[in-house]
Amino acid sequence: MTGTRFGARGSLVSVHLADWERRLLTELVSELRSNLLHHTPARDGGDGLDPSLRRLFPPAYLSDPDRDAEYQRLMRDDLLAERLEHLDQLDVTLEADHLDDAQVVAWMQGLNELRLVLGTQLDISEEEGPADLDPHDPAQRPRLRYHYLGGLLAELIDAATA
Amino acid sequence: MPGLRAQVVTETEVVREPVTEDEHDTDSPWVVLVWNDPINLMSYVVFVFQKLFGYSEAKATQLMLDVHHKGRAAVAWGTREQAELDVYRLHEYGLWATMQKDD
Repeated sequence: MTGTRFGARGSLVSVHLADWERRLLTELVSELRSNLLHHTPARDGGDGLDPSLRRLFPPAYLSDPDRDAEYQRLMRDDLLAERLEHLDQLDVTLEADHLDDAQVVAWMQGLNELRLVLGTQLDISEEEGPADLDPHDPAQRPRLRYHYLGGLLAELIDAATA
Repeated sequence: MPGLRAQVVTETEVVREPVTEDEHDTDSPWVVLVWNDPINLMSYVVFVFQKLFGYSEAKATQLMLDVHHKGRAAVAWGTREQAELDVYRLHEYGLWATMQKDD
């Protein structure tokens, strides 16, 4: 993690990703898009959401099931469409050498969505750090990807708010 | 990146009409809470608070620290419709936000 994968360039953010990073992001975006399309129940479907996606469709009312059901019924389709749009924006600009404001935000949202799903699958804890991971252990691959995405998002935020 | 900072306070989101029933209680103040979670980056949460609510970096950072150390923080107040829109916008960014009556 060199910290130079994004840079402030006037009102734009420059992108310096290696080919393997662009390939990895393409793969992760494709996986999540497919997961969202196949495992997000319709707005009237109630429960049945893939557990790994639950952080992408959180409750709005913790102690009022009726109102929360109404919120989910009204908002879930919109939220799903937003998620897919973030991923599409990330996907179509993966080869770009610079991003504008709207693209930067879509990248942040898309990268964060990838992290939320991976982190949920891994049951990530507050103390979790990348230090103990063996980069050559295939079983550690999801955890390595989770921490990779965190580093990437942190660098993008730094560049965008510099 | 000045452009992005300017957008923090000038952005206008699409206005939606989430709820029309229960008109009798929409004048009551509702509070929007953001809850701590182990996944969202601190810098990301600060960025989102600035972008959505136009908060200064200092205020956004303090709210993020409240979320982190106290488990949750109240980030906005309003009618039920306003609060629900804020919750939705926070959900768009992947934050764990809920709303309740501000008793």
